Amino acid sequence: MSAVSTVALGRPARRRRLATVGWSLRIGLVGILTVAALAAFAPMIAPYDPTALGLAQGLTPPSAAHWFGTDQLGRDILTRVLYAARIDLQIGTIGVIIPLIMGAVIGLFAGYYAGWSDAILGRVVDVVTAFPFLVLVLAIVAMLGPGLRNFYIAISLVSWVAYARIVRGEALGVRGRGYILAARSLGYSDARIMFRHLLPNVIVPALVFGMSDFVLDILAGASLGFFGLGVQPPTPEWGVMIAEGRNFIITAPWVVIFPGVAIIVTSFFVSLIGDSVSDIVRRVRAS
Amino acid sequence: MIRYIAGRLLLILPVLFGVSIVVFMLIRLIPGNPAIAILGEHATPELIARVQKQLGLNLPIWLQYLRFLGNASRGDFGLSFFYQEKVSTLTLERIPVTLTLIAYAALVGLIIAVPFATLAAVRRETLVDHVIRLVFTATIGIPTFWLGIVLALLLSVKVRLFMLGGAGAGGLDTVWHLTLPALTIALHISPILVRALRSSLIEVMDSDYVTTGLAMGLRPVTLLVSYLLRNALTPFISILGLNIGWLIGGTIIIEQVFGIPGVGSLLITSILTRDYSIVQFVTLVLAFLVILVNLLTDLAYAALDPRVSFQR
Amino acid sequence: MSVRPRDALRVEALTVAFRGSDHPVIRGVSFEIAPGEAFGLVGESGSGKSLTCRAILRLLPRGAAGTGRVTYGAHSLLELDDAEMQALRGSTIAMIFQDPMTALNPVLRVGDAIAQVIRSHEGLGARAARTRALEMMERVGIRDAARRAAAYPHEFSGGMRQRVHIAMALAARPTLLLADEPTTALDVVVQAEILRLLDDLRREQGMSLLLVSHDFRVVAGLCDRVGVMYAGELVELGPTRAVLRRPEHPYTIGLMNSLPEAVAGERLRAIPGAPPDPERLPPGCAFAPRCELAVDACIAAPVAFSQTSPGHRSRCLRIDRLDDMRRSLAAADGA
Repeated sequence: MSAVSTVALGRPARRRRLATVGWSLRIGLVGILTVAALAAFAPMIAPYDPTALGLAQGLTPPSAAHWFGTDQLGRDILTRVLYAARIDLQIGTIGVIIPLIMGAVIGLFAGYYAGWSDAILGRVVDVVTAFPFLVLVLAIVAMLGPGLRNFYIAISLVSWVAYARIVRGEALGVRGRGYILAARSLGYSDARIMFRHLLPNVIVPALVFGMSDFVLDILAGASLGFFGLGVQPPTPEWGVMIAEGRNFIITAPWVVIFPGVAIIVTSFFVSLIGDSVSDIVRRVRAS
Repeated sequence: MIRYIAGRLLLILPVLFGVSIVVFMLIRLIPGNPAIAILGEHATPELIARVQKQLGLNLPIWLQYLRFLGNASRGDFGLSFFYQEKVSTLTLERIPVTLTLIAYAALVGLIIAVPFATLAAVRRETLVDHVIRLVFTATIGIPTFWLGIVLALLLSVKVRLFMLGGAGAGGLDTVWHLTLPALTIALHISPILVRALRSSLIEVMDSDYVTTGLAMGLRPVTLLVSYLLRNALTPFISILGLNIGWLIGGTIIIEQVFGIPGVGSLLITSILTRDYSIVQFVTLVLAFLVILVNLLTDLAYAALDPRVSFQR
Repeated sequence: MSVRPRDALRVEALTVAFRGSDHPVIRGVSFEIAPGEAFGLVGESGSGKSLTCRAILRLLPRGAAGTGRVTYGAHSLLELDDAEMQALRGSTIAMIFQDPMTALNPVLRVGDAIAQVIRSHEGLGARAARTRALEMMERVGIRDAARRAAAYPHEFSGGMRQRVHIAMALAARPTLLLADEPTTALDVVVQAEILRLLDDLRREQGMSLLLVSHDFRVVAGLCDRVGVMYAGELVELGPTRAVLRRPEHPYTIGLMNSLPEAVAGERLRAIPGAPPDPERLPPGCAFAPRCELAVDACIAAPVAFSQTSPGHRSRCLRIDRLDDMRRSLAAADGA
């Protein structure tokens, strides 16, 4: 078991670690910017109309005319994947921004004033996190009805908690620091202190979390789309496309493969960025 | 020890209350009249009025909540409009399958995660470590439903390795049927497990007592088991417990994809058929499951780490 | 209890460097420890004294590698493979560490931890190993050993934990003990007890001892010979009494003058300047930038050892001017 005896102890050489962080961050950034660009320019670069039926005789495999093949209604899959990117990236973005803002504000309040507002937030966090994320989102969507708008409402109602907890934790730690006390002694209003002095210093971990939350939201959106509870057909969304192609997977696997790969690749790039940033943040804080 | 459990239970009480309130409030989210949502637009006014009375929708909200609690204490969570059976019976009879699947998936998840996490930790910062971490980072982004479909295609249709559909007839047949679903869920949770175990191992590897162990010339097996794994396991179990929600989420999706008659597929179908009572109850049950698992995780942690006393 | 043959430890030109750095943190250190002798290694933090211990047992931190020659009897330590090293550690050469609060495995009962060490090296059964473990615990001064063996490390105080640590190290009856600042983390009263314990055990088992400390007093009470390290190099080496009575290196003089008791009633004198950066050492004497006697020749080229009296040597070009330094110090104190 020489592996165990080489369990020697101490920090690895600094230079090597820095190199790999830069590398993965770069790939992540380039990747996600490419995906975003493809999505943004989809109407211009997509070869066909995403809802155009009968472009080919039903399920045709990838070819020169249709790089990703066509689905059972003769729609071009490449086009639909590109257009779906717009929806899914939107899901990731809005699914992070709204809960982030909600949670950050609430967390700031609770962390700054501490006392009973913090205690209440603590209870609320405990209760909401007792539900599995997907279960609560599904339950809320069940009540409100399917659709993208209701999905956003459900995500916001559930996700804000994670952000609030992070921001509140940071705020509690920082509120006793010198510059905050100085600001208070200068008579600045609470709101001003919270948003101009406290916020910039506590928001970073929340932003880092936002990146992994982005991936979670896309997966949740695709899952709901798959079950028919999210984006409704014929709007192209990667999860919806997979559901539509499910019955033909044996004879025409490309209908299912490409949207799935799109999800995997997009999530991968965002995860790379998230991991790199969280590594950097951790290193900065340790010094 | 009993006092510890009792103390813990006491702390959980407010959360249980909060959960019941949330579940109760779910129905209020329905836009418009819930009775109409359940019965459909063509229902007669009399029918609507009757259902409203039956659901107690005319009472003030706090009375409705008390009514809800009262019914709940008697195990009455209403009738399923679709199946015309008691919601509680319908759900509870499906729980064993779901629990089996969850446990099976957790086990397979560990079997996958432990070797890779150990390898990555021991060969920290080398190519092997980076490749492992990269592969598992990519795995987080694989949609579970897609993976289920693809694996079913590859391992059940193309290569007749596994059976599809249903939970089998109990015993070994069930294990056979649940293997592919459990594997899919395990892959879904494995990135978290690998990440957590790897960092737990690294923290232990860097600790002073491991240096001491090395300096004493302990046999490698002794060092690995008594010093490394034994200490890395404790925080790891915490993380495992904390992520039960993620595990449940994956199980729900896979149950629906593979047609397994568990609580998860019941939830999805009930949503599609607007069987609100079932949706409510299943949500409640799953939240209770999470709370229970968290409690068990706390207990396990206290039992494993002698520094945590049972006094508090 | 059979008496193992006693060996001598020979460290020759030991050099330790971290990967990616051209500047070794231990530079050509050589010394010997005769069988049964107690040798002290003194220096400030960063001087490389702890790493020297680690290098001997091949327990260097990740990314550090040692070259040179280290022999203990017939064993050439830097050339053994992992399995041979593992067999040697604990049974022949043992090491104890500085911080008792983190040195013990928190999930193992103390008796079990000691028994494990015994069983890793001797083929004893569980019961026999446990009996030996209890014996060791009593020998290191833990009363009521049978009951306390079932306790976990966090249930012991710092001093008691260090005793457990010592029991673990000596359980397999090594003939050489490396003690890396074993009392630094303990309070003064406990320090004295632990040092006395180490001394008793050493005489009882006929062990050689390498005692590392930043505190001269710790080493003075216990060691036959002492070496002074600065910036990864040995700058003075000799019998403890001789070095104490008449230190032959400006750094050693400075060290002794900064001890509170050594200059009772007189002013504490700190050594001016700061510990050196291993990346920025002059080619000659590393202490020269802080030395009041330094001349250009000191910085220009590496300084070799000169013998000042039998067994006592010093790496200084200005030994003949040391008397001036001693006089001015005495005068300043008198004023």
